[in-house]
Amino acid sequence: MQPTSGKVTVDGFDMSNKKQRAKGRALVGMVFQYPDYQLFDETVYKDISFGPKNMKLSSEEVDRRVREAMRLVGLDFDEFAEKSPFELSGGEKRRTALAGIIAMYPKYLVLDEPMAGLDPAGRRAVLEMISEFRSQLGCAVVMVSHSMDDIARSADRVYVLRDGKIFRSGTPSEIFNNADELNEMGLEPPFASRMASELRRRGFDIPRGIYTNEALTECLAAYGKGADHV
Amino acid sequence: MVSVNNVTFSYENGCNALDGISLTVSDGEIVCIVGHNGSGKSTLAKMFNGLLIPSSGTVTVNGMDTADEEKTLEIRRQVGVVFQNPDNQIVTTIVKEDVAFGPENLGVPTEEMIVRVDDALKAVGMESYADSAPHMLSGGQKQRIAIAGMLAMEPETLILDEATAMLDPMGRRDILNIVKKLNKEKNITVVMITQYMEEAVFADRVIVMNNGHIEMEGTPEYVFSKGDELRAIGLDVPPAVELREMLKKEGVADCGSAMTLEELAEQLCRSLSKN
Amino acid sequence: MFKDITLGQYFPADSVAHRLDPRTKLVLLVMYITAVFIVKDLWVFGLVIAFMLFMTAMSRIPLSYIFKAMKPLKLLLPLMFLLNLFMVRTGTELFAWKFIKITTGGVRQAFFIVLRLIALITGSSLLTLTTTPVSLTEGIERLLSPLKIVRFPVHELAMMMTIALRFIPTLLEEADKIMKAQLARGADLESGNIFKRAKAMLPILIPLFVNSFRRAEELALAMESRCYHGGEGRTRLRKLKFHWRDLFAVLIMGALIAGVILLQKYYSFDSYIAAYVLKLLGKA
Repeated sequence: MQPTSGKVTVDGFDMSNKKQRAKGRALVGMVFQYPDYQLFDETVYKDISFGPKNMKLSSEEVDRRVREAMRLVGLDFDEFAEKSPFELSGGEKRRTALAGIIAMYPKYLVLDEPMAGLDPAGRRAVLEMISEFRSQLGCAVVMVSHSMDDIARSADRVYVLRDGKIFRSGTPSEIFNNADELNEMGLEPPFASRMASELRRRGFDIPRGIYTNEALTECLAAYGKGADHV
Repeated sequence: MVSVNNVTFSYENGCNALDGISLTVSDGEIVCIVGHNGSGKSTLAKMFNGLLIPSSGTVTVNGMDTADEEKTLEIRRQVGVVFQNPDNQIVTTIVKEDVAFGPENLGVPTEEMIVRVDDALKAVGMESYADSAPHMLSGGQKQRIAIAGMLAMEPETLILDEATAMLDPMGRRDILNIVKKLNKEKNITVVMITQYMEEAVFADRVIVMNNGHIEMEGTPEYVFSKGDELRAIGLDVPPAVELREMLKKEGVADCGSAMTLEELAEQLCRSLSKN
Repeated sequence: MFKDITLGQYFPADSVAHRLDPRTKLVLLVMYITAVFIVKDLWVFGLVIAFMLFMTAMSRIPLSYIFKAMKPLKLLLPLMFLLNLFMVRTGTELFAWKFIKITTGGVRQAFFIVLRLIALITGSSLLTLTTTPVSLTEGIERLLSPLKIVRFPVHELAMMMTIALRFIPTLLEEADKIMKAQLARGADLESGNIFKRAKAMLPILIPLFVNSFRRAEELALAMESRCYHGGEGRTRLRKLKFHWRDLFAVLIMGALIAGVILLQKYYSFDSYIAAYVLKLLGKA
């Protein structure tokens, strides 16, 4: 995809320049919403090795990376390596797709709606995996999502897009401060920040910037004690 | 009334998707079926209108057995199903013609069909899109068209088989509101199959499925008071209940059985000002 | 990116041609093609061309849209013209130089072939430009419905066309997304010889096929859930109705065919003109 105007650079590589684009792409790993867009090969092993092979790595290196990627996404090598990606369950497919990108050791990992269509346990597992990649591989993660609760749990920085423009940017606490504004845009702010804003409306003095259950509970506990003293 | 009597179903590869399920859905009720991926809930959904026939046991819709091929059309008219992927259930290239697809198959006369299509599109708030091309609509709008397509057959029961799973929060909210309205105003029985626990809060009854059998059944209040049991089978509680549990555990406040943001805020107000 | 493609190049406008019943338009197209093929006289062809322009005017389609339909033929038309001009060797010789010979027959044939192609393309484009794919499908289904007697699956054919029209945009969009996903994994689609490139397409084609099969399965379930059981006992939301204008249009087209036949029977403009040209060249 090319911008119609402006310039996208990845670590200084101009993405509109054909030669530099390839180098830029190698740094960015992109995982799309549906794993079915990506899986194609006979076995899980071959599918995951597609990316690393395209990077012209030695076969030992490819093998090492595939094994590591499978371990990171929680797919048992002996059980899954020789399976066809098409006979996997939805969650396993997603793990395979993720592994296919992880094995390329991207410096930046871009995830487009990684949690869509998963059950609660699946969502938790994917979130945990993502933070694991960050700590183990040291890659930066860009997550595109409309699940504010997921974002609240994992992001350092949030950009809110509206009609193709950056509408707001900041830390989660800055962004989720204004629950009503996000609500109007059709986005659902994290539950804790909606709750905080509802309580404020009811006359409670809840400090701004609360967006997790933990913070809200702590604040309400203090509130309760404060009330005791009065 | 739909009743499922001791139904077992196994796929060709031998695994039991449903294992001795019995349940009844009464007229005018909203029932929510929750369960993790592969718990058998979608297989169950396909039983309700005879897309799948039980390996053993029976499913009856108003006394008609789904295994009776002569009754299939009438059962499918009475029980409408909206599926997960909005793209894969729209058949034609113009919205109103798609809504008319069901009535066309039933042989409804043209004059009546025009009225039904209009009414159905109005009921889901899509009347201004009657002449649009479906592929230009958003996911939520497509699902509304799919619901309208069912309404045009004048069903008694609407099954939503993870119909909100692929939608954004706004699309999900729209669909929920429409379904609630249809239940209230047209007394349509609703069976919602979902992975989003907050959608189950509005149900009259919640059925929790796990590995092909019913794990738990009861009012949302009851089911969501069993947070740990739900989490043990890969599910969760609605966000309000999650906060409620935490507040109770930390000894901040006991908010009873609040399940929505409003209820919880209400309870919190009361309990904190009591202090 | 593919969201705004229009299928079947329908051009929305309010004209007599747009309002004609699709069945009428299909019949008209068949009659028109007949007229184009029975013309043997180059000058009578003028009548057909005049009629073609008349139809275009009636449809209120801008000429630029007709030219657009001609675009794929911009190489073929001149090629056909030249081939016929040089290869056909009937009639009197007009010009000869070494192995190149141009004859009266060649000139006639060259003009004929080009005019015929233009007339055919304009005619059929007028049909698709003035008729939505949906009503076109419906028109075909109704027109062919007598074939049901001989067990020809008319309804099934129409249903297939409808579904194809419905899913082409969806599949194009999906192909686009798959392509991006594989490019992001370093797939190289642009270099290498033809075999290498064909092989490089596999990571795109396989997911596309797998997804299409799943789509087809889900669509079948959705259609069954909506009581689909073939064409038997089906009613339609839109009833096609013939109007006076439909009869009128068929009569005019009939007049064209009659005119062509009569003119050709009693006059032979070609022979007059050919004689005149030859006289001018002093070869008679």
